[in-house]
Amino acid sequence: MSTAVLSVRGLSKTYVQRKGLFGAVKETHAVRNVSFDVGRGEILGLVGESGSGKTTVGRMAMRLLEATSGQVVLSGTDITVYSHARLRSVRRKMQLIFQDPSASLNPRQTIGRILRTPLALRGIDNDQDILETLALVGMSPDILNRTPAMFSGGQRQRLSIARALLMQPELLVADEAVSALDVCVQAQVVNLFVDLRDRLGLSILFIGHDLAVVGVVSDRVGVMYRGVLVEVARTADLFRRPRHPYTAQLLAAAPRHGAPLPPEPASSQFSQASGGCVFAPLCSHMTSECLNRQPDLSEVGPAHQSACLRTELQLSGV
Amino acid sequence: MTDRNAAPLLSVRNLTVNFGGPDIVDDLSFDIGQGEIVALVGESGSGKSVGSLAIMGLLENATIQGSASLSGGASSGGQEAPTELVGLPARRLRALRGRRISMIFQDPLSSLDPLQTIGGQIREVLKAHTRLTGAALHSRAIALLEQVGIVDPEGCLALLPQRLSGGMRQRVMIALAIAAEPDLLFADEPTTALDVTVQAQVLRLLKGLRDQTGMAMVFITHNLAVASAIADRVIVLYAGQVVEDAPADVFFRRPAMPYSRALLSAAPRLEAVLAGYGHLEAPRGQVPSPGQRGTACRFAARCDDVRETPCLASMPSLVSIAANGEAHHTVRCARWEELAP
Repeated sequence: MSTAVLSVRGLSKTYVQRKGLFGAVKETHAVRNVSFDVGRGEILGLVGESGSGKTTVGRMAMRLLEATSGQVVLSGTDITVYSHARLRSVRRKMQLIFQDPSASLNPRQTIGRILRTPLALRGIDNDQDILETLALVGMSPDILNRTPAMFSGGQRQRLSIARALLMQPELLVADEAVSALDVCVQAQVVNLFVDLRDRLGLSILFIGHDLAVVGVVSDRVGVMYRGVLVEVARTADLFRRPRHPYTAQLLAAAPRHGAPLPPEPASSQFSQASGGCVFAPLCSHMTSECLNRQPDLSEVGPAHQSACLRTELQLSGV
Repeated sequence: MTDRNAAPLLSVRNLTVNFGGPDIVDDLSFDIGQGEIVALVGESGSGKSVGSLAIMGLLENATIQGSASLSGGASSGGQEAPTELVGLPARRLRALRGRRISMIFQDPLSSLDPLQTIGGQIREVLKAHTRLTGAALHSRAIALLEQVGIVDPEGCLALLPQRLSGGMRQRVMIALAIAAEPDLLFADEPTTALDVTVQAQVLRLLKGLRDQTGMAMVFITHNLAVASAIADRVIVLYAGQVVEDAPADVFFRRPAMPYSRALLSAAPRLEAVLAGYGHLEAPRGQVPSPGQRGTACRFAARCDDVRETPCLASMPSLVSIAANGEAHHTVRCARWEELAP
């Protein structure tokens, strides 16, 4: 996609541990060979369970964490090799929203001071932008003299979004940004993200563990399992006709309103063979071929990619 | 399953809790039947946790009024005289906890002793509540771990909690909580910290335990989909009060309180994702804090169906809306009849 705001190619992160001075080297593959694009004005959801590597991908995309290999391209510029000094000039274009806004807003600073910091970095010395941005995120303009402690969790998350927006970013990386919020407030903030995409044409990498939340905001969704991006597709396609058995299992396990608990999924009970598909040990569709190699993400339909050898499978979705 | 004709296991009446300031929990009344799983649903600040902690006698420096009466459970054949939990001396409460009522929390790591093996912790609980010793104690510990679905119970006994995954820790917590076969289990957001596949396993486990042992359960959660998966009945709390109490199937088909409807439509659903709209119905504003609840309907400021009268005139009371022969269903909305679909 030529209009991609963020494009990552073959991103991997390997942690190496050595037992003793001459001991064996143990490699942990936190992220393996992940590639995707986030288009302009697009929300790409990244969903996975804990340990799936979704947060690591987000941090590598922002170059807050060095990738072991792979490329990060921001608006056509390869920033993988940028020095820290050069990174500063492009960091403005990508902003991170965290799960816990009370940990990311300085409790001793007033809202005015917190919001003027990004403006100062842009060399602006008036509050016009602040007032407009507060209106955009649904906060009243008369709060500049208050401190973060005087706001609820949802309001604080709006404030951290406002602070990010004041840097005029092209890309937001939202990591579990609504997970800590109550359901009604969560709905408000979810709507805010969609609204920002529509009104500002903002691109968002929306990372989360809750399929329904990620699905509601995202134009496309990528599913991660044990460091591997196993499937990417337009949201409705992924939910209606998942092509990777892990996606299907995740959809089946999610509790639903007014529906009984899903039955225990069948599994193959094979132990992890090194080099095989990461999901093979838990996959009820596993064949001997699956134990030989980890399949790459490949096209299985229009704008639909899956990393499963058994492309003929008919899996049930929602 | 639930027998509605029998006397309830736990009967809470007019429970009010404060910490020296405004009331946090306000005039809470509800029943838990024998063997019944009741989901206590609400947002933060609704009073669901404070109310439950008050019933279990786990609040310090709180002023608690009202009554929470625990009658004889399935284990005593319902013959034991009811025990009033509010104001019960600490010594007698301690004797009840574990044996009659037990609890599990969201984060098992903070409830388990990090320096003691799983086996040591289970033996400690069993010694406190049973007369088992030696080999009998050991085999009971193994049986408990098997009951909660741990595949290698013998190996698990020797491990420290940090060696276990989140789902396994929660299973161990459940094993500890049910070791003395309690009649009533309080589960406070027990699956919130778990991955979705593990969450489904723990929910299946809890429901299976109820079916096997007849233990009743108060399942505290903010997640309606989880409540739907496990509960026989749903009680919705808002700003310290019960606003709706209904059988689960009725609640999810036709909730009567506008707040219940708002909660249901604000929750993102897989089906809604398919319909393709990137928008959730969110009620405006937020839950009023305890000092600002006023004398009118507490949801009025956020309600789309609010009217000057009756909504703002006075606090609606909790009324029964169950027709003849229908199961218990109460709602706190002055306009419920007009608004019924």
